Parts: sequence; C-alpha cells; structure tokens
Amino acid sequence: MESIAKVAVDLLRAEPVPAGRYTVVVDPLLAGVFAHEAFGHLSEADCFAENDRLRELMKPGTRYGVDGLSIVDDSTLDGERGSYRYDDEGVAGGKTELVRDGVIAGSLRDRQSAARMGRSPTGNARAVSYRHPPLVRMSNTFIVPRDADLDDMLDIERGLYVVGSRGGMTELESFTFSARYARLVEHGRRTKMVRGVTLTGNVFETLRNIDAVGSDLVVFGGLGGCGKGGQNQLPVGIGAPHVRIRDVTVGGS
Amino acid sequence: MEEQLLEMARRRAEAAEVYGVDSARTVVQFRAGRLYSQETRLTRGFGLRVVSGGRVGFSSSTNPDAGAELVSAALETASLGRPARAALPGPAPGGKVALLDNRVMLASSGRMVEWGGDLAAALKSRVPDMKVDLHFGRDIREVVILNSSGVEVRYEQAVFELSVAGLLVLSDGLFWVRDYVNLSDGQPLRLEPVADRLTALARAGRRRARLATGSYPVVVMPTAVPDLLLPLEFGVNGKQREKGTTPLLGREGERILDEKLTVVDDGLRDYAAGSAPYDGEGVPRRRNVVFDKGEFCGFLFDLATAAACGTSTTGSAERDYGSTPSPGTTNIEVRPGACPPAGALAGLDEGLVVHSFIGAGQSNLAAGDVALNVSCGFKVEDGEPAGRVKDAAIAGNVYRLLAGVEAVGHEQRNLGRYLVPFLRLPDVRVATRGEA
Repeated sequence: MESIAKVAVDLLRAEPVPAGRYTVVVDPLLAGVFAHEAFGHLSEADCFAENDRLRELMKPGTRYGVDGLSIVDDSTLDGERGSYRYDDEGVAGGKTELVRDGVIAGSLRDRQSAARMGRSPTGNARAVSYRHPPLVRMSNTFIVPRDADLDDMLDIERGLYVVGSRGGMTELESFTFSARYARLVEHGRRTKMVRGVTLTGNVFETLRNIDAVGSDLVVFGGLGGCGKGGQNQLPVGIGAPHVRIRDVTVGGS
Repeated sequence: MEEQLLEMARRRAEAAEVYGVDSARTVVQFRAGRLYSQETRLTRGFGLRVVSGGRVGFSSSTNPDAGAELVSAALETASLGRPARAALPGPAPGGKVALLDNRVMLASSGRMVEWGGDLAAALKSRVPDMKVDLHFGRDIREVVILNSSGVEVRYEQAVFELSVAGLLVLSDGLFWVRDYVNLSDGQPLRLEPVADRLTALARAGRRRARLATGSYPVVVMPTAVPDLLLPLEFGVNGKQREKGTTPLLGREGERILDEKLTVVDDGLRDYAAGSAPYDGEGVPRRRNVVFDKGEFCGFLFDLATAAACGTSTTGSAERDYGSTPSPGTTNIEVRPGACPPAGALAGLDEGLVVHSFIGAGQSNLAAGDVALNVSCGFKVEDGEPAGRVKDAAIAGNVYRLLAGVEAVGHEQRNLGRYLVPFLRLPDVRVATRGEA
C-alpha cells in the first residue's frame, strides 16, 4: 500500500516521457501484457483460419524472434486465474507452445478453426457466460524464463525501465499498451520517473528486437480480464520475467 | 411482473424502483467475405432498487419467478448500502425522440445475410485481395421503469448497426480499413457509399510514406474523433465531479476548448443508440450542452451524484437491469464547423490525416491524456494524401489539443452514439519509426 501511495504521489510530479524510440526494460507484468496482447491474440486461430495469407504469416517454423524467446499458453497451471480442466466445448485444456526459441511453434484453436485448418483443437474455446458462444481465447500466457540478470539488462546508456500496465490493445500485428509509469535509465542507472508511457509498434519487429529474457517469471491474475468479440472480463493469466526490447516506439509528450 | 415486484417491494421498503428490460439481439457475422455465424440472444431481466432504513439496496435477476428473493436480497444489501441521498423522481413527460422504425423490426437475419453477401461481393470485385469482415448487430428492447413515487415508464427501442473491416496483407505488413453504418432509421443499406469509402482507403493504403517523429498538423477524420473525445466524456461525468477527479472541477463558465467547438450530450437524437425518452431512473432525457463555443457548461449528473454535489440531475443516469444507475454520456455530438470537406487537408505542407486509432482508454483519462496508435492514417504533403503511415502514434493532452483547433468540418458523420465532423489540430506530437 505504501508503495502504491508513493508511486501515485510521485506521478503527480513526474513529467511526461518525451515521445521517441527507446531501449526498454519491461517488468514482468507489462511483458506479460505484451505476450498476451501482442502475440497471444495473433496466435488465436480464428483470426487467421479463414485467411490464407494470414495463415502463411503464422505458419509454424517461421522465425520472428531470437533464440531465447519462447511463449507458452497453459491452462493446466495450478491455481492460476486462467486455468481450467476443460474448455467451453468440453475439450481438455492443455499446454500449447506458441513460440519456441524464436520460431512459431503453434496456435490456439477451437473446434471450428481446428476443423478449418485440418488440425486438432487445443482446448482454447471459451465463453464469458452461457449467453455467448465460445471463441478462441487464451488461458495463462507467458514468456518462458531464461537466465538474463536485471542489472545486466539495465546496463544501457539511455532507455526506459517500464513498470506495470494500464491495459493494452492489438490489431493483429499492431499493438499498443500503456504502462503505469517508467523510469529513465541513464548509464545503467534507473533515474527519474516519467508518466504517460505508451509502447506501440509492430509485433513481429518487436519480437525480433527482444534481446534479453530474465529468469524472474511472475504469472499475474488479478481483477479484470481479456476482451474479444464483445466478450469482456474473461479470466486469464499473463506472465513473463523481465524482458529487454530494443528500438521501441514510445508515444509520450 | 414489474408491477408485482414493485408492489412486493414497496410493502417492505421506504421507497422502491423496478427497472425491467426485455431484449432480443441478433448478430450476423461474415469473416473473410463468407458467412461465419448468426445468433439471437433473448434476455429478460429485472433490477430492484430499494431504500430501507435510509440506505440503498439493490438486487437483480433474469428469473421472472424470483420476486420474493429479489425483494429479500435488495433489503439485505440495503442494511450495508450507502445512504440514500436523493428521493426517487415523480412522473414527468418524457423527451420527444424517435426510437423505433418498424422496418428495423422486420429486417430478418436472412436480410442481413443477403446484404452482407452483396457488400462482400461488391468489395471483392473492387479490391480482390482484401478480406472483409462484416458485423450486423440489431438490438430490440423494451424498457420498463416503475417506482413508488408514481413513475411508470415504458418504451421500445431498436438499434441496428453495421461494422465493416477490410484487411489487406501487404508486403510490409497488415493494413486495416474500417467503416460503420447506422441502420436504425429503417433505411435500407446503401452499399455504394460503404464500398466507395473502403475502396478509397484500401487503394490509398498501398502507397507507403515515411513521416519522421515530430510535431505536425493532424486532421482527425470523423471515424477517429470518438477516441479523442473519451477523456472529455470522462471529465464531464458527475461521478468524477463528486470525487474531485476531473480537471474541469470548478471551471464552469470557463473557456476550456477552442471556440469552434460546441459539444452536446444529446439523449434525444432520433434513432441514436444512446437515446431514450427517460434516463435509467425515470428522469426525462434532454440535450445537455457540455461545451458551448469552447466554454464548459457543466457536468452530467444522475440523482445521487447531483444530490452529493448540491445540484439537479441532468437526466444522465445510465444503467442496465443488472446495475445501479450511474451518470454517463448518451450520444455525443460535435456541432458542425465552417470547413468544407475539401478544406480538410488544404494548405497542409506536411502533416497526418487519421481515419482510425487503436488504444483509446488506456491513458490517464482523468488527466485528459491520450496516447493513440494510428491504425489507418496517411501522410499529407502539399494538401494531398501522400501514402500510408505505418507504426505511428500520437500523444498529448486532449484539453490542450482541443484548446486550439484549426478547423472543424461542416459535415458530420453518424457513428451511432457519435455525430461528429473532422477536426484539424495544428500541432500534435507524432512518434513514428522514422528518425526525428
């Protein structure tokens, strides 16, 4: 509580971040939002099952990231907010690798998109209530931890250490998400707080620009949830360790 | 059902109100030019608000046989509820507004499938590589509001809308174009204007232009204006006035926006999604001018927030059967300005024209901040669109951006809850992949 209060008070004095391109070190919550918003939604097969050219973009084996980057959706994690035994079509939930070592490894499918693609469903058909038909949705989506150290990630001349999430939105390859706040990183040190930090860009370029993945995975649940197709507040888990991304467009002042 | 529920509640409570909704929502969706799904969702629900021991209680249900349980639950929650700050309203004549055209009632899902197929085919013949998603949504609802002070309101409403999204997979990535048509007035869908607008955007988007990070004049086309207005809608909300979390606090009568801007919350616009003769607690709806030639006129209140702020309700209570009333905007109109469509880009040596954003609502709305990713936007050179701008974002504070508006279009677009012209802003910070 004290920390929340201090951040709120500090934000009153914080200046807006100057718009531009930065190397950003993203905390586990915002990195988790990125995994969910930017790549997770793109992996939902109903968005590309009907579109051959999009399917080509998301073809397994296509490289979009560095070797150290792997992203997983897993509904079988104990006690997480997006966990379930069966999806809303009665298909058993499971673990699906979306990106393995920088290469597209899989997609999330309901029965309809699976049939369309000639593949098996992955147990990701979910509805927010009985009043809605199931759609392809994520469960717990996270970036798999590696071994980068946070101090090493911050060892940059100029950049941003970006903290927390105020939400995110995606339009397939384009994404935007807002941080609670950020601190400037100057010569390896976190310095003054800045506000109004919105990261925006192209998913594929951003995945290619991830150059360090930390070891400190945290999976978040919390209030709220995911929205899609008029079905909002679906419980999901999102997570990641600290991640460093080069050359991110930050829309500030 | 509503009458029985009110009667049961008023016997055990100091005051009672029943809000009932009976609705049918029909959705027809096309994906990639093909029919994807049809659904109809029937809902009947009741919300019961009571005052007991001077405190407010609330319960809701979709079960028409749950009257006794609803009353008991509402009374139980009242024991822990907030103090009742305002009396329920009495009967009053409702606002005059057209809400339902029989042709909308008669538009079958088969008709939507036919229209969708025709539009998808028309777009395919014009832009063969564009994949078209269509979404028809039609809501027909009957609302009943009864209270122990004698309010007895019943009205029917039909809202019928079409959203279209075209996706082009280009060599440098994906490009979305979007359009919207409000069909609630019962007029048949006119395919040509929709197809013309989308085709023009799709063709213009094949050419790419680079824009360096910097400050530019930005023309926000009507389809993108609602995203820019979101912080204003937040700021004029009486709830924020009550909490003291709006930059408009104590600034009634002060010029906040450019004098070219008059913004009206119009709960009585014919066939608009937010219209009704009464608000969510039976108070007559009205037109509330929130900014008159840039001058802030006042907040939007429901009964409770008005009482807390020592003023009167503006008929702005929003709700559904499952929630208690809270103030909100209905239909936002930005009054037309003087600039003809041809003047939107005229005289711009270099700038940006935006047709759609993504990311609205993520920034600090209370402060008026916006940070929006440009989904469909074009660089402007010498007064002409010079090519699509990719991976760009605008940022700033709406109160500052709209304090100096260069031009306001004199043609408005009907976007359902919004009736807005284009806005030309002289100096907006744009972040792009290009070097500053």
